[in-house]
Amino acid sequence: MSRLEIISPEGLRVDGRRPLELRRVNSRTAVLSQADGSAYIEQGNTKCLAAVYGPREPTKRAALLHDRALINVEYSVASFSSGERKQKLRRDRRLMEIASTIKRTFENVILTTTFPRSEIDIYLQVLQIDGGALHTAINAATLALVDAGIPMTDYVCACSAGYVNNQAILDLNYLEESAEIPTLTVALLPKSGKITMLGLESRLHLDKLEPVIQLASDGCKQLKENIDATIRESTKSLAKTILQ
Amino acid sequence: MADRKRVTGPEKSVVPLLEPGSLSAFTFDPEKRKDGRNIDRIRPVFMKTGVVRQANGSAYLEAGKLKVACGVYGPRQTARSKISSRGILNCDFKFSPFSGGRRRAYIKDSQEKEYSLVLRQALAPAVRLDLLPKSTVDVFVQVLESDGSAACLAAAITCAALALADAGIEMLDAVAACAVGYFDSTICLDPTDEEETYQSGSLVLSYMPSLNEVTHVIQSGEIGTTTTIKALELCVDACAQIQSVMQQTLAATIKEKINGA
Amino acid sequence: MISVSERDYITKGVDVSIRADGRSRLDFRELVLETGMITQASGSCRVTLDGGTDILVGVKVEVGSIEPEVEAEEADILEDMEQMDQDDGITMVKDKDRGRIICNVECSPSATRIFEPRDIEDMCNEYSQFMNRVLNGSHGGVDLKALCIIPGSTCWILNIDVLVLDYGGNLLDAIFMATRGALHNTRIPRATVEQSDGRVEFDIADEETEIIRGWEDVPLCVSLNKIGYRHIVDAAPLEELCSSARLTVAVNRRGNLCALQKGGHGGIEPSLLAEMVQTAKQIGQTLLKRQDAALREEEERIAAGKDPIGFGAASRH
Repeated sequence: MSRLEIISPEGLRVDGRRPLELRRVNSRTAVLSQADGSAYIEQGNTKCLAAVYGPREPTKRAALLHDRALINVEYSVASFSSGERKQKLRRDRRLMEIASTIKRTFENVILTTTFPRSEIDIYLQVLQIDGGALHTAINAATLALVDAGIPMTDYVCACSAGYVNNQAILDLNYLEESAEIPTLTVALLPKSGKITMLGLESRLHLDKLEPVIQLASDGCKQLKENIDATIRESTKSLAKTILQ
Repeated sequence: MADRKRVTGPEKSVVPLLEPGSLSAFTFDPEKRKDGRNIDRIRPVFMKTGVVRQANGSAYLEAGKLKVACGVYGPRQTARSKISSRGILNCDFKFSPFSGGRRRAYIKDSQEKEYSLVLRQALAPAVRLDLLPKSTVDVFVQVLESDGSAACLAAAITCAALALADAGIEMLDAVAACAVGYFDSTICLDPTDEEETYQSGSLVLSYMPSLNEVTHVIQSGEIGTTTTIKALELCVDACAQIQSVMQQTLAATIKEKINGA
Repeated sequence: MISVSERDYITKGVDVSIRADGRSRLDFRELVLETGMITQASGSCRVTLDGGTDILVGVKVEVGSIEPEVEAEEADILEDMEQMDQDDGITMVKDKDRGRIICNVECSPSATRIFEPRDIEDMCNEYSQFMNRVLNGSHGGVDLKALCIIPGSTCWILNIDVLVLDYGGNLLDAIFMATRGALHNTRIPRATVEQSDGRVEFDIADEETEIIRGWEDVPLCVSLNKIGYRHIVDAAPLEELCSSARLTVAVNRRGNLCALQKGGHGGIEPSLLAEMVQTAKQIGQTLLKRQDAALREEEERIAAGKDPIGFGAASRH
């Protein structure tokens, strides 16, 4: 796919967005009945479901930590989620790598010292992929963790950004990601502005790094507004049922 | 490097389709089954125990062309990791490679794995596993000649129950099983392989006559409810008949042991 | 895990037709049905049973050959044998003018916490096999002949992927409901066959799509659990732990049984078995009507151009 088509002469991307525009985000919490906390988020056509169980007794006694909680992340992609049907392999290395990235992202944010000798499980199920599966999963996990009532120092908001035709673009979709545009995923703690996870798997010129990170961080802050609004709404409705 | 020592066959080979009687047109007429049976008669069955010396208990069953052998090992100690307060019943079902028209591979295919599961589900309600903590009972069924896959499954269940009895494993009752083929609304007991190709559905049922309980039932094909219920009744009656043969065989075995000892 | 007193409480309740959540023995829970939320899939449907069970089914169609390629390695042969295993397990596919349906049941990590990993795999395998057995074949409802593109060589393969998102009892019934909904929602691109120079070629038109013929005849499943001396429909997780035996019946629109299977450690008296079969038929037909009504509403919603808000937004039935 030629680079010229990513941004049309009028400055519009393939799906009609402006370069600095985020996709439409829809999210809800408490979608699963059995989980302690759960959330569903849709960013454009990428859909992800998160379930959080915990803090609870660790399943593997040997792995428990005496002074803090153990965080366990499982990331799974549905067979029908992408254009071609892919049979899910039991131990797909790539999925395990993504799961461990997400685990490290949250380990620093969750107040694990509050729950020593216990386990917090985060299960992520991606239902449909249109680019940005990793950052959508992180956002879903944040929502689910808040829904489960697990204390964190801040929201973790993630977003992706890329660089094409001397223009940094925000929130890449599947076509843009597969067109070999360098994609940078950033997970940010909005209050402090600190970056808790940064991932880049392609080549990007050092001069361009700063603006792209900045753009992704701005995207994260926008997403934070959305996540915050969802949490407040669900808390309000929860409060209503309690106070009745 | 070409292998000159062996003469290998062509890489892609196809089994010749010549089976006895395959050239003549076969039309199924319930009134006139090939072996002259009525639609509500099972094939005459022959059973014998003690055919596998190594095993704790064994049995052999023959019904028409169908031949099934079963060996039971146990109760023996369970592997450390799976110890539980209730005994474990492991069932293994295998068609011999030469048992049917087409050669079967050595490795179990999904049908055999499914039948192994069915075997366990049919026998587990009858075996007193709660009297065998930390133990495993292994049941191995080998079909030597198959004549109707549903009938084979039913024969396997019966044969396994007989072998379990021969092994002295305590059970609530000897499980008997039988199969039925549906031909639109006609119900035919104990269908053979040829008859199976024309059936629109099949039913396998295993039953404990003394307790009047069905231990397992599995049906496939689109069948009406009344037909199904009628078939259930037919099967239950046939199972009672099969169990009487089982009891005779077991009585004969005991007599032999007493006289021989 | 269930305690003796809980088991006693549930059994006594079932005896007088009062279940833990207030239902009577033959009451089915409320179900919520949504279709078409996975746009990448050819068809999708989500069914939620009030009380937790959440199933998402995605259908993807692909063009494949009627006889899967057989390779020299025995292991590969067996893998293919497993793939094309029909009722008789005969390795050569008898009918060369039919498409195929391949079902696969998977548990999402969030649903698996209650079971041991080995049990989950066993359960998923069992359900996959049951679905394959029911859907492949004329009793499955779907017109497999219509899925054939070029007789003897090419056909459509329907890959039905079931994802269990949450466990709240009675998985198999919900799975079948979602599968039927997903098949109703599935659109296959039109394939036109051309004969040129003695060679037969086919062309897939992406824009024109067709529905799956025969989706209305796909059966629904009703699982009855025997607790004490009575049987219940649509068991909750605790009730499933109390049940001594389970009967799964697949019923189609015409009131015929497409499959019958017993599970569980206990036995069932033949008279009770006959009664359960009758009950299953009645409940199955009621469920079919409910589902058809829900699907009609979904069709209207899609026709009206309203976007699915996704997850929990659809109508209750």
